[in-house]
Amino acid sequence: MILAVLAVPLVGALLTWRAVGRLATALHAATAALTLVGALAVAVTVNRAGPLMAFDGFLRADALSAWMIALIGIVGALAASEAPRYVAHAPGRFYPLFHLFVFTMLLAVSTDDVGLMWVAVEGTTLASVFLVNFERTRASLEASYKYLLLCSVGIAIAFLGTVLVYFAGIQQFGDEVHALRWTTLMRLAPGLSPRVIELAFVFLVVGYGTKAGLAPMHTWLPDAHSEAPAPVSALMSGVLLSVGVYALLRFKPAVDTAAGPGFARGIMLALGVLSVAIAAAFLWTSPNYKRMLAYSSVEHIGLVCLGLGFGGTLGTSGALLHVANHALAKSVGFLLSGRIRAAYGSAEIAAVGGLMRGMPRTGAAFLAAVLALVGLPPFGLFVSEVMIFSAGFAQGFAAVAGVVLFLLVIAFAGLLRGAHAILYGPAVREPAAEPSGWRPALPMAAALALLVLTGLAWPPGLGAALDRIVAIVVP
Amino acid sequence: MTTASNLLAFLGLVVTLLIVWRQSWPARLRLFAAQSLLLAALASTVGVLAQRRGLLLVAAVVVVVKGLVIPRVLARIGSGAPVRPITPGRSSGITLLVVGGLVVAAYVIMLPVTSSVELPTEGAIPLAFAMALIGLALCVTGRDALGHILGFLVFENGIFGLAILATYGLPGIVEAGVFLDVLVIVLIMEAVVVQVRREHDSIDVDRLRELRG
Amino acid sequence: MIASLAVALVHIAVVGAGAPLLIGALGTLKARLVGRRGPSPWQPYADFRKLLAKEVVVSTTTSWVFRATPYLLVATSLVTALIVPVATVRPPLAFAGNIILLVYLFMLGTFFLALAGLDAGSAFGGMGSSREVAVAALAEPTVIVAVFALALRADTIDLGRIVERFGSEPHLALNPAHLLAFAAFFIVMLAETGRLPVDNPATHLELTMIHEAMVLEYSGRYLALVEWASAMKLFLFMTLLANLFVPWGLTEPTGPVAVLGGLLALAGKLSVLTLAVAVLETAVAKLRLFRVPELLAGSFALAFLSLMAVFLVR
Repeated sequence: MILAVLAVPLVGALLTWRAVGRLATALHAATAALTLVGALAVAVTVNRAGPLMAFDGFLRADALSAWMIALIGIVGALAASEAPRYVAHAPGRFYPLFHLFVFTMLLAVSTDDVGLMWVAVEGTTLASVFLVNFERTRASLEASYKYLLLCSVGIAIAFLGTVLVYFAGIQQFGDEVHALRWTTLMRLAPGLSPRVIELAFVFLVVGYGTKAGLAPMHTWLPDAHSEAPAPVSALMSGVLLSVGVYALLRFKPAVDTAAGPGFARGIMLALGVLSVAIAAAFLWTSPNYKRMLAYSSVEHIGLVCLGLGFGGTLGTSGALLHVANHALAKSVGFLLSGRIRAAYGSAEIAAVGGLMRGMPRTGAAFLAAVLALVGLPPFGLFVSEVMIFSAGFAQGFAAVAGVVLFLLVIAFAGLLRGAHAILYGPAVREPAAEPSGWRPALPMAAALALLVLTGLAWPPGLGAALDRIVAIVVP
Repeated sequence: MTTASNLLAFLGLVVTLLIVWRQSWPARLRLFAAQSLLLAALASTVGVLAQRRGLLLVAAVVVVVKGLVIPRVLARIGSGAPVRPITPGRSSGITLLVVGGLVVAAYVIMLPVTSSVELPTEGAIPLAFAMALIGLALCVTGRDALGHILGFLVFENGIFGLAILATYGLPGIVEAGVFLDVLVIVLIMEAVVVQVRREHDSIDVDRLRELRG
Repeated sequence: MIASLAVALVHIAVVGAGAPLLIGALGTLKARLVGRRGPSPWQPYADFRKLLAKEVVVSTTTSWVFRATPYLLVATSLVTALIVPVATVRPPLAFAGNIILLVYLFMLGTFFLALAGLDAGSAFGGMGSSREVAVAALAEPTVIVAVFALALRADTIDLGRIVERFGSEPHLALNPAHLLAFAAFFIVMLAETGRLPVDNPATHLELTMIHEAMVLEYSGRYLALVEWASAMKLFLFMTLLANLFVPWGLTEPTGPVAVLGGLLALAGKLSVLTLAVAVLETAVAKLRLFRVPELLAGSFALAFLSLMAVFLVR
């Protein structure tokens, strides 16, 4: 079944290569829908029946993979639903790369071999460079250049970390072919040389942290996420960053076993606090609302990292829930910002004003998304943030949690300030007409509803799924 | 095997030093090709002496991809750019002194690795890592797109060398993935730089300064 | 006692008399390489004799430094000849630490020459002195580091013993550190003795001259002595290159045969080196002055790497 889920976007990419017009849109929609269905099916099956495998365990989807696969499917479908309005002029350049991008992300989270995971994460960078540069403006060219260079260097550093992990594995146990398998790594973890593993983890954090958008390796993020077309930004901000965190999460239990829990915890806490701090500062100074959303991504990834650093059941499940919630909220935010930009013709905050009056439905949705991002109830981010901070206080990191809460307030204020200027500020120009009817609003309304669901009443099985993941991640 | 790997790794480091030293990009490309050939020689030596036949194939692929194809693509990227930087600007003098410091740093950082094991190739591991660090320094101080990508490729070469020395090669899928990845990166970089050149009429990336804050 | 005196005399004679021949041979080789017939290798001797007969013109604004420097240069060169192992493994002035004396003697000569260039108060002299000192400031550390790399490898800081050690245990010399130190020392030799690509000894253009600018004011016997001293400097650097890095052919001073053997070996090595320098000088153009520090920094990095290699590449 994993193969089916992976094959769908790959085949879709190939089919949309040469298609034009209505056929292209139809193929694209079909691929996205099938990917969604497949992803949800995998998630349900794994949670009901245990890990799925293929190719003699080379591809493996356990509870953590299933969580990510479901997320990629959902956000992918959400982004795909908005895509056609952005690609009218060159669908052949967009759809294949879009589905290839989704494929590489799915591959990264559904393999047992950390080497293949590395190749797939590298593949995500390569697949998305031209997506970032889709509009072919000067700014997007600069953004894509920076993105390519910084992420490639980061991934190369992650490769070094992977090599060192492999080295530690075969050093102790000599079995080459399987020493790169995650399951083998977990089995061998207690005997691995602690110092080598520590060194490897430092490289891995720097490398995959670049992909995840952790400060200080985040400098490509605001540019790339703000210059890409909205569906791509949604995918990148929502899911790609999460894939980076997933990669780190795969190594963390091995590091915790081999080198003691304090090492990885220290690093993740430090980077988490730094990310939140930098994001909070830049949220105040961004003149562009897409960049503002991008910095908000950095902030939330920092929170996720904090949750993982605090550790324990509460911290880890809070972090994972936050990954999912953030993905949903941020995708909605970026997709809406794409519509706003199309309507107003500019991404500057100063150019957009009185959104609530000019485009009431879009404005209301945008307000909802911003409130979600800021962490207010009834949206799910409130719950996950509470879980993370309770973990912090429970594990004895009250000072760190306190500092981050303070920084969050600053970020909160910055984001609200920008949103207020957009929604209620004086109208500078008249926007284009808002799309009417319920169909354009359906995907985003569904996403927001899902967010409320995770905030108020967890659907059955969510808690159990999280528990299963915690069992994998916390040794 | 110790002397052979030490010698080859050391020669690779010297070639890396020369890449930092030389200012004209055709010379740097030739030196990069030479470095890749040295890497292939290292892979073949380890392959023969440690009986890993797979490494001989890896060496062949390195020669073709990194010794022939990539320098050709890089030459296309750099064509039209001035061979030598026109203004005196930043000389390579300071960078060369930094290189010395990086070699020492490489030894210190790789201490956990070299002290934990008794491999015949362990003496050369810090040298390969020094090569990687120098590549990173080159990437950071590169003045134009070609400088950046050359630095990245030297970095990649260093890590590759380290992988060969420390683990006698990685499983096939990962090796294939690495090669494919490097090749695709260079090709994509070429496409991006072509666009940059069309927009700004030069590949000097200091001109890309529109996005701030 | 007699033997060591004889050896000392041999050193001085070989260096003193052989240096102009080296310069002459270099000039002839360079000319032949570009298709000219060129001067005879014995030309510098004729020049020397001619200059000795000429009248000396000394500017009235100079001090004793101007008149003392040529003698000082010759003196330091001849004393250095006693430290460098020319024909045998045990030079006359052999004691631990003589590599430091070597470097300082070179430096003493450079220092006084720079002062003499300033002394006459001409624009060219001052310019040449400042350039020379800039080059020397970058080149001297490289000399020390390169020679120390060798000394550490051989576990001694006596030049003679270094040569002895490498001669008797050739495997010590067969490693990349040696090669790097050789390359670094070669570049420094070009810099210190004023050869292309650092300085052009045949030019008197303001834009390009370093050494020639400092000696521009000299005439007659002073000029003869200065030219002789710079020839001896080149000879000594080449001898160091040849005997420190390729020490075969040198043995104990057990008798005239051994000394003669050493001299023959030296002649062979020097001819190879002279050919190499001639080819290099013909092939490369002079570097723009702001790029000279790059070259010298590179040679310092090579020397530093060779020092590291002593510890780290075993």
